[in-house]
Amino acid sequence: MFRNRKAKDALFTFAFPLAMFVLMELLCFFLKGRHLVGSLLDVKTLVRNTGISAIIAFALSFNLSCGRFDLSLGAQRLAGTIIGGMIAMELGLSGLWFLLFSFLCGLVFGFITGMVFVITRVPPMVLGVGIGLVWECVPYTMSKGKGLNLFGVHGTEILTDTVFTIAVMIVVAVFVSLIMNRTKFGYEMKAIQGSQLIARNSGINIFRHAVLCYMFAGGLVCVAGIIDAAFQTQMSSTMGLASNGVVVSNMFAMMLGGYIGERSNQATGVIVASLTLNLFSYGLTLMELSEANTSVVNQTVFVLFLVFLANRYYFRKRKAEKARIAQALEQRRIMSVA
Amino acid sequence: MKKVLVVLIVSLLATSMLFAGGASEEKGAAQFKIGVATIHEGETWEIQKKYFNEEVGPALNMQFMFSEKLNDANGLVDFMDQAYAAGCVGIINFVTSNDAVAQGSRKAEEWGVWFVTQNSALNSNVAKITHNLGHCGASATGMGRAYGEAINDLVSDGKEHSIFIFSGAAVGGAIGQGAASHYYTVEGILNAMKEKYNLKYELGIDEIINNQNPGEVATGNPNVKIYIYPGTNVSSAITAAQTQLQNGPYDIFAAVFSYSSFSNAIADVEKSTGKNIKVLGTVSIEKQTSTGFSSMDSFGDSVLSAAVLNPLNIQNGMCAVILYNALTGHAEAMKANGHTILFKVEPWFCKDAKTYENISKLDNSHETYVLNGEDLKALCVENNPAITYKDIEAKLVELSNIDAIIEKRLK
Repeated sequence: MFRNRKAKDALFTFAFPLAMFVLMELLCFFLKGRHLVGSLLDVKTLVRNTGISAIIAFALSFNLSCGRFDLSLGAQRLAGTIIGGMIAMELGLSGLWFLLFSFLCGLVFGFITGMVFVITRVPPMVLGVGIGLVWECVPYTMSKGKGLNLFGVHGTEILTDTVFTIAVMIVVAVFVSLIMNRTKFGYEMKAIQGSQLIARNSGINIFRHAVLCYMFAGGLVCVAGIIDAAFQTQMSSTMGLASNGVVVSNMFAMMLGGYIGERSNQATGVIVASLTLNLFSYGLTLMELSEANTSVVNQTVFVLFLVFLANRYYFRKRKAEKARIAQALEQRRIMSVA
Repeated sequence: MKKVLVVLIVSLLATSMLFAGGASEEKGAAQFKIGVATIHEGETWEIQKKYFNEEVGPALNMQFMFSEKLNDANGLVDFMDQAYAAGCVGIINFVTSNDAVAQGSRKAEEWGVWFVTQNSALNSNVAKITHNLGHCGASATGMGRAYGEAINDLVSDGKEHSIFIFSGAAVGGAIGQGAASHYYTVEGILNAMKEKYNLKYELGIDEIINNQNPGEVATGNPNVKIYIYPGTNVSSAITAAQTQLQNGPYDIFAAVFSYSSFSNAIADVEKSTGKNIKVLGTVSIEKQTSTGFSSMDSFGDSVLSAAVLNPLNIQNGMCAVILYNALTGHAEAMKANGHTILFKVEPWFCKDAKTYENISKLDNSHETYVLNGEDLKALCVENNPAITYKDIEAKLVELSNIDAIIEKRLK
C-alpha cells in the first residue's frame, strides 16, 4: 500500500514535465516540423533556464508561503548581483567568487529588508515597493549607471557551465529541503503558514523567522542573478522597479511547485514545475510566437492555474454539501414521520 | 533668551545671504541650465555625460541636469516638470516616440523652454511649434547604408550565407512607433542580401520588417536564408537565436543592439555545431566594443566581426549647439522657413579590429573629441552671424568620413 502510494506520488510529480514535453513536442512537430529537444545544446539551455527559474522560485517561496509578497526581491537581486560581481571583479577573482560575493550581498540586502520590516511593521508589499526603489538606486550609484558587465571577463565561464548550474540547483534544493524539513526553522515555518497568531502565542519568534526568510530569499535570488548575468554577459542597473519583472515571472513556477510538492516535497515540486514551465516557454519560442503573444499565452495559463487552485475542491465541496442537505432532509422526514 | 534666539536667527540669515551673494558673484555670467531627458544608462551613457559636462558645458556656458532612464512620454513630461522647476531653459530629449515628442514640444511651448529631440525621424505634427527645434539623430538611412556595406564586406567571399537578424524595435520604426534606426538597419541588410544574391522576397520589405512574429523570410533561394527576430526582450531573443543558429544554416548574426548579450549563446552554438558564425552589431565607442574586437572565438576570429558605430557625442554636441543658438536669439537660423529640421548624423562602418583600434582613441579628451569645444563654438551664430542650419548639415556630412577624422584628431 505504502509503496503503491509512493509510486502514485512519483507518477503525479513527473507527469507534469512529461505531459508538457509530449504536448509541446507534438505541437512543434506538427506545426513547425521539428523536435522540441533536438540537440545537447537544447538540453543545456533548458537546464540553465530551469536552474535560474527554480532558484528564484525557491527564493520567492520563503516569504510568499508565509503570506508576505516581497516586492523588493527583484531589486535585491539587482543590487546583490551587481555589487557582489563588482567586488569580485575589483579583487580580480574568478567565477566561484562572483557567486559567493553575490550570495553574501544578497543575504545582506535581504537581512536589512527583513529588519526594516520587523522594526517598522509596514505591510510587506508597501515596504517592498519603497525599499525596492531604494535598493535599485544603490547599484546604480555604485556602478555609475553602468551595471555589471561581464563581457570578456575571464574566469566567469564556469558560471555558464551546465554541470555547474545543475550542481548549484542541487545544492540549493538540498539546502531548502533540509531547512524546511529537518530544522526548527522549517517547523516554525509550517506553524506560521497555519496561523501567525497561533504560532506567536505558542512561543515562536515570528519576527526573527521573518528576517531569516528575507535573508535566505535575498541570498538565493542573487545566486540566480549572477548565473543569469554571466550568461547574458551583463546586468543593467534599472530603476523604477523594472527589476521585479524577472522575479514576478517566476511566481507561476513557485505556485505550481507548491501544488506538485504536495505529493512529494517542495524542493522537488519547484524544480519539476520550473522544468515544466521552461519546456512550455521553449516550445512557444520554437513555435515563433511574438513576445506579446507569448506573454498572453503564459499569463493566461497562469491565471487558469490560479482559478483551478482556488476552485479545485469545488466539486468535492458541492458533493459534500449535497450529501449534507440530503441527510438533513432525510432527518427531517424521519422526525416528521415520528 | 528670546532675544538671543532672534539675534542668532538674524545672523544666520544674514550669513547665508552673504554666502549666497558671494556664490553668485563667483559664478559670473549666468549659465544656461539644460535638462537632458535620457533613455540610456550604463557605460555608454556615462561616456556621453562626461562629454556634456567636460566639453559641451564649458564651451557653451551650459550646465546640465540629467534624468534617470526614461521609458515613455509620461516619464519625459514628469522630468520636464522637474527641470522647469529647477530653472532649465532648454531640454535635450532622447524619448523618441511620436507621443513623447508631441507632448514634450507642447509642454516646452507652454513654458517657453527650447526643446530638441535626438531621433532619426521627424515628427511633422509638431514641426511648426515655435519652441520645438527639431531632431538630431543617427541617420536612419545612413544606418541602412552602413549595414549594407557591412553585409557586402561579410559575404564578399563568394559563398552563400544566411543571416539571423535581431531586429529590436524595428516594427513600426518607419512611422514613429518603433525605432527608425532599427527599421532602416534591417532594411539595409535585406536590400544588401537581395542585391548580392538576387533574392526575390515574397513580401515587400516594409511588410517583412513590420511582422511582429519572429520567422524566416521567404527569399526564393533555398540556400540563402534570412531569419528576423523582432522585439526587445533580450532573454527570449537569445533562446530563439540559439535554436535557429544551431538548426538553420545561419552563419551571420546581426543585432541592432546588445550584441554582446548573445556572445555566450553564439559561442555554445559554434562549439556544438562547428559552424563559424560572424557577428555584426551596432556599437558605440566604449570598452565593451574593444573587448568584442579583441576577444577571440573558438575559430580564432574576433567575437565581433564588424560593427556599425553610432557617434553619439556628435548628436549630443549638435543638440547643444542648436539649443545655444536658440537661447541666444537665433532659433530661426536653425529652422527652414519656420519648419524644424532633421539633422542626420552618419554612422561609421568599422570593418575590423584594426580600424576600431584607431576609432577607440577618439572621444576621450578635448584633443580627441570628434566635435570639441572649438568646433561647437564655430557653429554658434553668436560667433559667426552667417551660420544657418545648412552649416550644421554640412558639418555633419564632414564628420561622416571616419578616415578623415582619424587623420585630423590622431595624427
